[in-house]
Amino acid sequence: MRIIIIEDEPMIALDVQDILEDAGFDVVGMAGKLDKALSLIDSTAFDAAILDANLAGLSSSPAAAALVARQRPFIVLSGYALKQQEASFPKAVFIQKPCRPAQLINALNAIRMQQR
Amino acid sequence: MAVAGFGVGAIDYASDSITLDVTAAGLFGLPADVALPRQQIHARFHLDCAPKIADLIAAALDPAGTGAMTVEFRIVRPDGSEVWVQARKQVEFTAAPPGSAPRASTALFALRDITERKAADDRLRISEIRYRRLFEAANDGVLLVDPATSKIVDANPFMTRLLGYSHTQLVGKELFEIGLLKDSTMSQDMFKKLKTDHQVRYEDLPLESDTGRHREVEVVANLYDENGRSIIQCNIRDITDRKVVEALALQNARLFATLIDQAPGGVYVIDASFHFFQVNRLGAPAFGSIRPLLGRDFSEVLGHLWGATVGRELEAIFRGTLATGERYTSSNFTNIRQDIGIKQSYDWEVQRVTMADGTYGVVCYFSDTTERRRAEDVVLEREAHVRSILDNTQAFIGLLDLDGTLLEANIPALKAAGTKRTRVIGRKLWDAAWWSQDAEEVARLKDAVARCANGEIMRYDMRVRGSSDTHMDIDFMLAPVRDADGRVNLLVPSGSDITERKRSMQKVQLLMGEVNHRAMNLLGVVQAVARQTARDGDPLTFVTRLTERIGSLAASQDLLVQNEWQGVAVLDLVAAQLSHYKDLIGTRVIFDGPPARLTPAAAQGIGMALHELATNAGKYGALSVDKGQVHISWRITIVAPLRFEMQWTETGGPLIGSPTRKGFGQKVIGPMVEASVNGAAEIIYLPTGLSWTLTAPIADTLERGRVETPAAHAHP
Repeated sequence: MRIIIIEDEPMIALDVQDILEDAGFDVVGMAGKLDKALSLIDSTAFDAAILDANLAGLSSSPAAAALVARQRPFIVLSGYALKQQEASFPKAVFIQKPCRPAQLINALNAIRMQQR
Repeated sequence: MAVAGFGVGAIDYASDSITLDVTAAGLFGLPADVALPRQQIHARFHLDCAPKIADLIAAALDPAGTGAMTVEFRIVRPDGSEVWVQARKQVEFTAAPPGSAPRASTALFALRDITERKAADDRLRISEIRYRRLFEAANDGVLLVDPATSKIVDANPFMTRLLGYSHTQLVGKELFEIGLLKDSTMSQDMFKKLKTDHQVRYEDLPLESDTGRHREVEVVANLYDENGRSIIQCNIRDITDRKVVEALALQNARLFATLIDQAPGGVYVIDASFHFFQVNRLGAPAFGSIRPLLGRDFSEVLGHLWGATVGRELEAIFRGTLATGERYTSSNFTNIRQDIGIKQSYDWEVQRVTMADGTYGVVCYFSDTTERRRAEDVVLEREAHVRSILDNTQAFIGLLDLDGTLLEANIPALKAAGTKRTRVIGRKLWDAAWWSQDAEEVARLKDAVARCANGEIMRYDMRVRGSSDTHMDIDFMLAPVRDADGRVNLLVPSGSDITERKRSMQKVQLLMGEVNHRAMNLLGVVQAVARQTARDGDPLTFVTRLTERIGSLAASQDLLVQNEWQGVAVLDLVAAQLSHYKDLIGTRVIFDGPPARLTPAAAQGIGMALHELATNAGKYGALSVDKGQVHISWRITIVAPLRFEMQWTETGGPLIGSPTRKGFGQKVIGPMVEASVNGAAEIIYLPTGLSWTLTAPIADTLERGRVETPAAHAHP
């Protein structure tokens, strides 16, 4: 299953990459800014996305909209309280930062099950 | 037959004739000493008296009676003149033969002229009627009290109106029983005082009627003799109504003189020659020490009291009224008394009156309002005081009537609206400058006024138009003011400017959210660092390595906080990340670069990279031996597009090769830092030591995307 990681914190992005690769997912792209994220979503073949709710101070809801438009499931990672965020990200699976690797893997597995 | 002072007549029933002596004949206007027919005498009785006399004569002729008769009657003389007489008559009876009644034979009568006494009686009766009428009609309560029993013997109708007790209920009661005096002790005091002073006066006695109505009354009690019998007269005045003085003016001169003395205010009379004619008890003290007052020239008195100028003005008024009969009323007359040097106030009125001798005079009714004026001044002063408090407070305060019309607004409120008192007073609050642009607030305000007029206290935050088209957030309150009966009669709108408070609260909330977000983010980073450290390290060194790395993150974080997240100077960042080697700085660790401020993201990424490079140098590179050097330099490229470039160059270290395995440190100085600055990192393992070069667009590295002028961020 091909995953793209949209996360403005490089350290977290790298860690998430390691977690996913260790679990057997293919990380096929990473982006830390909204414009990069939007072009990544457009130009890359992937099955699901990990999306940081906030990219360098901007809401990543445009990226979420692009993901919805491409019918790609995604997981939103957020440092903000979830309630503040849910309205901006309908349909998304939310995981609060910091999270355990198992939460991420389980969420992605759940998505994989739905896609089959 | 003549008796001094009496006229005498003899009646002979046998001949039915009467003989009068000279005096009696004079009273009847008939000849004396001749026998006149009885009918001729009877014809002289006044028609009003004749039937009564006929009855009495018949009674006196009854042989069963005593034959005595006394009568007062009027004689009409043949010349038409009249005279009152008192007659005493005695009839003599002849003894009758047994079996028959005795018969009147003769009678003697004596006459006395009582015309003078009758006239006096008439005058007395008229006077009594007048007195009674005054007593009944007076607007004063009058109680007559018997000092022997302390009980009320008479009360006028006004007392009934005043107290609600009927005449019957009042008579026989003691004064304290009708609530006039507080208790029997006060009553005893009054009687004691009356015996010595003959007069007692109580001002402002509170009086409860039987219906609970509260009145303020003034009581004047006088002890005097009435035909040798002591009597107490209590005059009770309802002093809530001071109109009585005017009623007194309507009385005739004789009664007027008596009554003005009992008037509750000062009254004095100036006669036609402009001299003091009379002054009542209450009025006298107003003339100070002038003795004697009566008979003195009034213009002299006025000059003495008020000085020449004011005295002349007053004289002109009195003389005007005396000449024209026009009434003159003055309220709030206030001047300094020249004789005592004190400012006094009077309400007074002058009217022309007809004196007893038919000439004109001027009566002046006056009351000393000095105390009241002083009290009013105090009230005015207090109002000014309150006004200045209202105007000097920060809060906006106003006054509305029940339909929302603005009656008052304090200066801060007017200033906030950039308007003037005259432009808003009298207008509806919502039509005044404050709300003229906001339909929603106007509707809300109208609703609030309506609800407040029903007694509700309204409070809400509103946004209003302030001066110069700015907006203001107001903590607004509308509170009802109730009158003594509990009805809402005014509304008080008040508010305070909470714009700043609101703004700073919003800022605080925003900051709290941001702090939370950053904390969560940083925890995420720490978690990632911990996991990465655990992945590639020796479990024995894990804690040390993780502690160092968290320390590196903390150092960068600390700088960011110090600079309020407005970026971190490169020099500060380098010094912080190499603090472990601070003793070597300037000798084996050399910094070199222009002033530049890194963005928070760049500072965190580059900071971590510097930490990994330093750790690596200390373990394996130039700083692991005694003589190795690290040269850290940064610059901004001079050709467009401008780029930030940082170089880490190690020299004099041990010979090293490329690491066999890409551990966490490699990730940090490579892909991680590249991602954090959107740049490129080049790592070269030269024989002389490691060389690390990072280049990135200044848009992604420097604060505000530009190079600072050196002066702006000079370092100490």
